[in-house]
Amino acid sequence: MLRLSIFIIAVQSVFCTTGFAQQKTTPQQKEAPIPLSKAIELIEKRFNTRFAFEHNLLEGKTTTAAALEGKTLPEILKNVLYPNNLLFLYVSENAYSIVARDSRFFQQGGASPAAPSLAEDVVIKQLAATHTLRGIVIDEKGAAMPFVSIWVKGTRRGSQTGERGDFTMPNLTTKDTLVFTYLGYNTESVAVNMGGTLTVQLYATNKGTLDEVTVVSNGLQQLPKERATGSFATMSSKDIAKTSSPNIVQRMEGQVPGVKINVLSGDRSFVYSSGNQLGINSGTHTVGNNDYGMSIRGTSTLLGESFPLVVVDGAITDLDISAFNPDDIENITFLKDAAAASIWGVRAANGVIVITTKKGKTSQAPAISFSMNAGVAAKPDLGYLRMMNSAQAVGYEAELVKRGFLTATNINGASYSTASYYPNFAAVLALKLQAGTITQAAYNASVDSLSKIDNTGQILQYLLKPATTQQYNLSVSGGNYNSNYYYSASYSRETPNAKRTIGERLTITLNNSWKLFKVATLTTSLKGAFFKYTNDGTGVNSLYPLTGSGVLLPYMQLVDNNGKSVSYDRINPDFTSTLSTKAFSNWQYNYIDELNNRDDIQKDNNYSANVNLNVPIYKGLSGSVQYSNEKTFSAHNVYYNPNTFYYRYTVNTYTPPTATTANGLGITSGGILSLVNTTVNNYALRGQLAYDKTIRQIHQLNVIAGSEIRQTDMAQSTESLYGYNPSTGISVPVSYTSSAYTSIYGYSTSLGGAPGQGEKIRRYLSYFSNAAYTFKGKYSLSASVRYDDYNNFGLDRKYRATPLWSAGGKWSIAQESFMQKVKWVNSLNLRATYGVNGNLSTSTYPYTAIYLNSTDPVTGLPSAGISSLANPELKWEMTYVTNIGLDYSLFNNRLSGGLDVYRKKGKDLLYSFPINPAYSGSIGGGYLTRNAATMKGNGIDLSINGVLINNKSFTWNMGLTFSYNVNTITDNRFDTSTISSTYTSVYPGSISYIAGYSTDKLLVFRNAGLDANGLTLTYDHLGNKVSATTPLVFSDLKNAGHKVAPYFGGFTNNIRYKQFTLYALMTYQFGGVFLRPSINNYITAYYTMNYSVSGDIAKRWQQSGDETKTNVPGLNGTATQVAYSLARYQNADVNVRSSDYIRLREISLNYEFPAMLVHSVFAKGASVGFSVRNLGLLWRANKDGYDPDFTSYPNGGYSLPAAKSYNFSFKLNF
Amino acid sequence: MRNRLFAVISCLATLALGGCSKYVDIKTQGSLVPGQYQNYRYLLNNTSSFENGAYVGDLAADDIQLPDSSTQMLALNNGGDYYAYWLRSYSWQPQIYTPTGLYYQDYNWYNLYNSITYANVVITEVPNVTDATNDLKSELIAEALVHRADAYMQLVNTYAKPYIAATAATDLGVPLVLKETTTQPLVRASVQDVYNQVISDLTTALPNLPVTQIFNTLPSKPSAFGELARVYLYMNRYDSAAKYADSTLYYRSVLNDLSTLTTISSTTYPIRSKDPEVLISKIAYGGITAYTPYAFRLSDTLLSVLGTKDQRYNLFTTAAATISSTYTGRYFYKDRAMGEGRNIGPSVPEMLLIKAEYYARTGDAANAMVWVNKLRIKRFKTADYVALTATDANDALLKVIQEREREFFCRLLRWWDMRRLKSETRFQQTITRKVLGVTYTLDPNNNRYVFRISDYNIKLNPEIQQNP
Repeated sequence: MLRLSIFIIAVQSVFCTTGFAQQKTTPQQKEAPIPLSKAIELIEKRFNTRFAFEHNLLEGKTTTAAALEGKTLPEILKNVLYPNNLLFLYVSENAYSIVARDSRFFQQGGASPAAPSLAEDVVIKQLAATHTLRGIVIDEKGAAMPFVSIWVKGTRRGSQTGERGDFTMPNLTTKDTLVFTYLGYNTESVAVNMGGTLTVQLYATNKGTLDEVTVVSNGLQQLPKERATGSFATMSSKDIAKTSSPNIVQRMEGQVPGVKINVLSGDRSFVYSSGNQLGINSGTHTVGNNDYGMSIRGTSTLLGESFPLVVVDGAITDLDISAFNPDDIENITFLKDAAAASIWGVRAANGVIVITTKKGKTSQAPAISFSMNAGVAAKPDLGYLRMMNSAQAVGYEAELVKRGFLTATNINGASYSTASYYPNFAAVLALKLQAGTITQAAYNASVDSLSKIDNTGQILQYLLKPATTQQYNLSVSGGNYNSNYYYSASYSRETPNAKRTIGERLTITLNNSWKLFKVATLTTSLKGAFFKYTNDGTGVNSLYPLTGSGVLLPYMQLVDNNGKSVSYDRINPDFTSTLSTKAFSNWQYNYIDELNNRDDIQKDNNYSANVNLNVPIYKGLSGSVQYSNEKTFSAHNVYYNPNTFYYRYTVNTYTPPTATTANGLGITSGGILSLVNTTVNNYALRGQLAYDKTIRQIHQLNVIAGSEIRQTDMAQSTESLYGYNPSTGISVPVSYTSSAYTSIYGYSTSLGGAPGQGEKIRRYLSYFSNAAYTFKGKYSLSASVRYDDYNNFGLDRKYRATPLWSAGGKWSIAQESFMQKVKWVNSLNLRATYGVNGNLSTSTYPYTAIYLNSTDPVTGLPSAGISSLANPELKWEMTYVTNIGLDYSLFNNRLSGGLDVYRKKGKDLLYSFPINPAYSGSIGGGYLTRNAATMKGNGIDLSINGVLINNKSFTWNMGLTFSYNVNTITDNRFDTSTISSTYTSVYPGSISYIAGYSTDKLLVFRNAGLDANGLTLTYDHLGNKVSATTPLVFSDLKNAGHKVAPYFGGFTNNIRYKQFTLYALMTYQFGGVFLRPSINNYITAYYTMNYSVSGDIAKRWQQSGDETKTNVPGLNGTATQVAYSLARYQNADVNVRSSDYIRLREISLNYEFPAMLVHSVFAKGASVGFSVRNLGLLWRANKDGYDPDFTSYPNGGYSLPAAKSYNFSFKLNF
Repeated sequence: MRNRLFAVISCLATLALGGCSKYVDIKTQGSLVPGQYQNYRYLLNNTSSFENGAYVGDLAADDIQLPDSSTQMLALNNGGDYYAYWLRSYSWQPQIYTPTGLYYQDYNWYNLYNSITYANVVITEVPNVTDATNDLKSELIAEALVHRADAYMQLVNTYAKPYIAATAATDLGVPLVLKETTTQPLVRASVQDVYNQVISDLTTALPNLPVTQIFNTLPSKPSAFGELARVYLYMNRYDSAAKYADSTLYYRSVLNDLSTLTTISSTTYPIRSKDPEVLISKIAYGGITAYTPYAFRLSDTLLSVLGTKDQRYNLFTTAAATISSTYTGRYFYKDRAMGEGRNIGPSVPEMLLIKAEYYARTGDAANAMVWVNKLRIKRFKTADYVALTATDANDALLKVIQEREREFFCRLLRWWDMRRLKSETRFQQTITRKVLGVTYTLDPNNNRYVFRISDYNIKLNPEIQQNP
C-alpha cells in the first residue's frame, strides 16, 4: 500500500509541475488570452484561496496574464472577473464564490463550513443607509437555514445567513426587495417595509428536482452523483420518512427500481412471524426472510447467500436490518451493478445496501426532534382462508370412515401406538357408529349439533386482537467547528394480531465527529438495539399445521356454551384412562390454557461501534483507519410449566405405560426450561488511502485503495433443564445416555435436549481499490478491483487469487457545448459498466468437515462422522454484470429519472450436483457442492419523477419505478433425463433447476378433469388422458410461468397544498403466476392424522356423476390412487392464477403547523399526520379474490393479508 | 503532527497487510478441528461408516426361494419402485436400479465406497496429524486399510468376474480410489489389480494392528489375517488361505457352543460386536431382513442340506408364521432374533472351513473332516451330533462346501461360493426361478453372476465400463 501512496504522490507532483510551468510567462505573452479557469487556478495557488462556481461558468472566458499582476486578491479578482461579467462574493476566509453578474444562483459546494457566526456583507457598492433589517430564515420544518443567499433585488448587494439562519442587512430602503435563494428551495421575495426583524420560510422543491441526494456512497467513498458511472439508487431521509414502519425494509417498498420487497406479514414489522432466533449452522441469512422477500435485481445464486449485503456507516453488518432505527438514517444507497458494487468483492453479487446514519451539522445549534407514532389495525379476516364449514368437515370425516381410510384401529385404545392415531370427534362418532357402539340416532344428534358450530368467532375473540404499533423517537444534534454530534433514542412496541405476542425495541445511537489537531477527523458511531420478544401467542398458523395432527376443525370450540375452555383428546382416552394418574399427567390439549401458560421470551442485545480516523496527508490525499465491532447477546428462554401440553406430553412419553408411582424422568415439581444463548462478535479493521483532487478544473480524480481484515464469530449454546423450578432455580438431573429411559411405547429411548455448544469463526482479508476520473465534467471513467481471501475457500491459493473487478464510463451529454442551446435538457448522462461481482456460501468448506456424534450406537464409543468431503477447489461464485444506463433531468428539472438495462451472467455458481459414491460414499447423500453451475439474467430498472405543479402553496410530485427481471439456468447439467419419476408424476414443484428454465418456474400437470371414480385425469404430452397413477415424464408437464413476477414497481404521489401534504404509495406486479391453494392432503391412512381444512374439500367428487360438476378429486380409490389423484389436481394448470395486482399500500396526510404559530411556543417546527396502511388491492387479475402475496394453504400459511391499519403521528422540532 | 499521524496510518495499513496470508489460515469449527488425532480415532469408531456391506448377493444366491406368485412375491411386486431391487436381483435381471426411478442409487456400491471414502480420509489426512505419536498414527491408518481391503473385496466379488488366475489381469474389476478425491477418473482396474491392492492393504496394515480390540467393529491382527485367508480362498490359492487361517486361529479360535441353546437373543448369545467368532464385524446394509415383505425365505435345496436337527436350523431360522400368517416355509431369523444385522465379515468358523477345504483339495479327506467336525460339534445338541466322515477327497470337498452352506446361509458367502465354484464341473448347476409366471435361469456361464454397475453411476462417470 505504501507503494501505491508513493505512486499517487508521484502522479500528483507531475500535475503540479505542469501547473507551475504555466506561471512563467514572458512580457510578450502578457496580453495573450489565457483561459479564465486557468487564471483562477493560478490565483488559488498564489493566495491559497478556494473558489466556488457553477459548472461551466468559466467556460469560454479568458483573461490576460497582465490582469493577474496585482498585489491584493480583490484587485486581481476585479481585473480578472469584472470584464467577464462575473462577480466574486466573499464566503469565508480564503473562500469566494464566483457568480455571473445577472445570476442569482449561489453555489454552495466548496464553501468552507467554517463560516463566521454572522455573515459579512459582501459589499460591492455601498448604498445610502436608511435602516437595518434583521431576521431568520427557516425551512419548512422550522429548522434554521444557514448559508441562504440574500440579495437586494436589482442590485449587486448580497449577504448570507449565519449558521443559526440569522442575517442582518443594513442600509435598506423601503423600496428594496430582499430575495432569498437556496439551492433546492423555492426563491422567496420579501418587500422591505421597515427595519426590525423578519422570519422567512423556504420550502424544499421536492423529490426529483435538486434536493435529491447529490452524493452517492458505495460505503467506502463518497462520489458526486454526476460523476458516478455505476448504477446507484438512493433514498433520502425524506423518502424514508414517508412511511412509518419501524422496520426500514418496509419503507423501501416500491421506492427503488430493481429492488423487490414483498411484505409477507401484514400485522408486524420486526416481530417476525417466522421467529427471531439466529441460527448458527445456516449458510445464509436466517432471520426475517420469510416475513419479507427482498432481492436486488433478482436471483444471482442457487445455493449461496441470496440476501443483499448491508453496509452501515462503512462497515459490513451482520445484524438483522430491523436493528436499525429508520429515523436515524440519513440516506440509503443501493448498489446494483458491478461498477457500483464490485468494490465489495465476494459479497456483492446480490447487490449492496449502503446505509448512512445521521450526523450533526457542523454549524448548528442543538436541535431536538421528537416524534411519536401510534397505529392500530383490525383483526385479520379469517374468511380469506376459505375453509370448509363444520357440516362439511363432519361429512368429510364420515366419508373417510366410509371409504375405510379411518378404521377401527383409530379408536383402538389397547396400546399407545394405536391410541396416538386418535382422530377428531366427528370421525370418532362415525367409527363408533360403524362399530355399533352408538346408535344412528345418537350419531345424528351429535353430528347435527356439531354441524351448527362455527368456531371462527371464538378464534377471533379468544386468540386474536387488533394489532397495534407505537413508536417514540427523540434525537438531539448539533455541532461547531471542532465537533458535531447526533444522538437519538427510540422505542418501538408492536403487538401483532396474536394475543400475547409482543415485540419491543429500544435503539440508541450516538454519532460523534471531532476535528483533531485541526486537520484529522475522528468519527465514532455507537449504536445499541435492544429487543424483547414475547412469543406467547397462538397464531392462526399453529391452529392449522401443515403436517402432523392437532388441526383445529371448524366445529371444535375453544370455549363451550357455558364459557368454560374445552380440552381435546389427542391420545385415545380409552388408553390414557388405563394409566396411573400418579405417574401420568393429563394428555389433553386446551387452546385457552395453552395460551395462558406459555412463557417464551427472547431478549437480544445488539451493540455496534464504528471508529474512523481520517487524516489528510498531502494535497487531496488522505488516509483513514476504521475499526468496527458488532456484538450480539441473545437469550431465548422458553419455560414450559407443568400445565403446558409440551411438558405433560414430554414427561408422559418418557414414562413406561406400566409406571404407577412416578413419571419416568423423576420430575416431581417444576417444568422444562429450554435455553438458547447466542453470542455474536464480529470485527473489521480497515486501512484506506483516498485521493480526491480537481486539477485545473479539468481533471477530477477520486481514488481509494485499502485493505480490510474481518472476522465473524457466532457461538450458540442450547440446553434443556428438566424439573426446573423458576423460584428455586433447581432442576432434576436427567440422563442423556442412549436408551436411558423407557418410553410410553415400552421401548428404551433417549432423552433429547442435551447441552450443546457450537462456535463458528470465519475470517476474511480483502484488498480493494476504486478510481473515478472525470474529464472536463463531461467524461467519467471508473475502475475498481477487489481481492478477497476467505478462510473457507480453496486450500490451493490459485482458487482464491482471482480478483473481482469492474470498469465503467459515463458521458454527461448535457455538458457538451452543442447541448447548451437545448434549454429544456438540464442533464443527460449515458453510463456503461461491466464487471464481476462475487458471492459465497458460508456453509461449504474446502477441507473435510468432521462432526461429532454423541456416542456410537453399536459400541458406545465416542464417534464422529464426515459432513462434507474436502473440496479443495472451492471458490467463490462469479456474476458478470453489464449495465447500460441513462439519467435525465428535463424541463427545468420538472421531469427526471433514469433507465438501466442490465445483463448478468453467473459462473462457478455453487450447486449440489450428484456425485458418484465412489468418491464420496454416503457423505453429502450422493451430492457434492461444487462451483459448477451457470445462469444468466437480464432486466430493466426505470424511474420517472415528475413535478407536475410547483409553486409556493401547491406542489405535486409523481414518482414511478418500474423493474423487469428474469433469469435462465444455462447449465446443461441440469437436464431433464435424471429427474426422478416421482417428481414428474407427483411433485412437479420439487423439480429443481433445469437448463433453459428460470429459477422460479412453475411446473404443473395438464388437468383433464375426473374419471368416473372421481380420480384426477391428466393429459400427457400426446394429449391422452391418463390416470392418476400412470407415471408421467417431464415432457408431460407444463411450464405455467414465473412464480416471481418479472414486472414490478411502485407509484407515488406527493401533493402539498400550503401546510397539508398528501402522500400515496401504490405497488404493482405483473407477469407472474401462483398456484391457487387447495386441499393440502387427504387422510389416506389411519396413521396420518393431518386434516386439511380447505373449503375445496366440500367441492370434492362424492358420487358418480359429480365428475361433470367438479374437478376436485374424491376419496374413491386406494390410498395411493387418492393421494396421487389429489397431487395431480393440486399441482395442475387449473389452479394456476395470474399474480398481477395493483396495491394501494399507504395513504397519508400530514399537516405542518405554520411557522409563526410554532415559533410562538419556542419550537422550530411541528406536524401531525394521519395515515392508512394496507388499503388492499386496487386491482387483481385473479377472479377468486386472492392477494397473490398471501397464497399458501390454509394449513401452514405464513400470514393472512394485513388488515387496514390506521396510524397517527406527531413531530416536534426544537 | 501530520507526519506522526501519517506514520500511525502507515503502521496500521502495514499491519493490515502484513501477515495477511496467515490471517485467513484458520479453520472454521465443524465440531472437531481436522488435524487432531482424536478426529480420526472418532471417525474410525463410527461403526456405521465402515460396517455396511453388500446385500444384493444374498438375493441372487440359491439359499433363498419364493414360491411363484406367493403373497410375499406379490407384495414385493406391488411395492413398486421401492422393492423393485429385490425381485430384480432375485430373478437375475441386468438392470436392478432404474436411473430415473425413486431408487436409482445402488446402495451396495454406495455403502462399500462409503467405507473406502472414510478409510481414504483417514489414510490421507492422518499423516498430517501433529498431536500423536507415529505408532498411534500408524495404527489408525492400519485400521483404515483393513476396512478398505474388505470393501474392495466385497466390491470385486459383486461387480467383477470371479477370480481366475489366467484372466484376472484382463478381467474388469472396480475403480480403485485410494486417496481423498472428487475428480479422479473412475476407470475400472483389473480384477488382479484389485486383489493385489486388497492384499497389499492388509499386509501393510498387519504390523501396526493391535492383537485385540474391545469390539469386533475395530480391526485387529486376526481381522487382517482372517481377511487374507478369505481373499486367498477366493483366489483359489488354498495353501496361502490355510496359512492365513492358521495365523488367524492363533489369535482367535473360540466358537460359540450352540448345543445347549434353545433360543437365541441378545442375552443368551453374543452380539456381533462382542461375538468371539466374528473377526471383523461387517453387515449387509439394510439391517434386519426378517420382516414382510423382504424376509429371506429359505430354499428347498438349503433346507435339505441343513436338515432339521442342526441347531443352526433351530436357532437361526423360523417358521413362516413368525414373519406373516400368510407366508409359508422357513425363514432366516438370526438377525431378528438378535435384534441386529447379520455379520458378513470373516469369522472363526470360516477359518476352520478354509482349513478343511485346503485339506480336501490337497487330498487329505481325514484332516478335512477333522476341521469340519471341530465346527459341527458346536452346532448340534450333544444327542444329535454325528461326526462327518468322507469316503474320499472329492466327497470331503463336497461335505466342506455343504458345511459352508449350512454355516453361512443368507450371509453373502453362498453367492461368492456359487461364483467361484461354477468353473468346477462337479459344482456346476443351472438354477431356475419363477417370478409371476416367467421362468428365469442362471446357468454357469451366465453374465448375471456379475452384477451390472448401476446406470446412474455410469451416467455420472461414463468412463466406467459396464459389464455385459
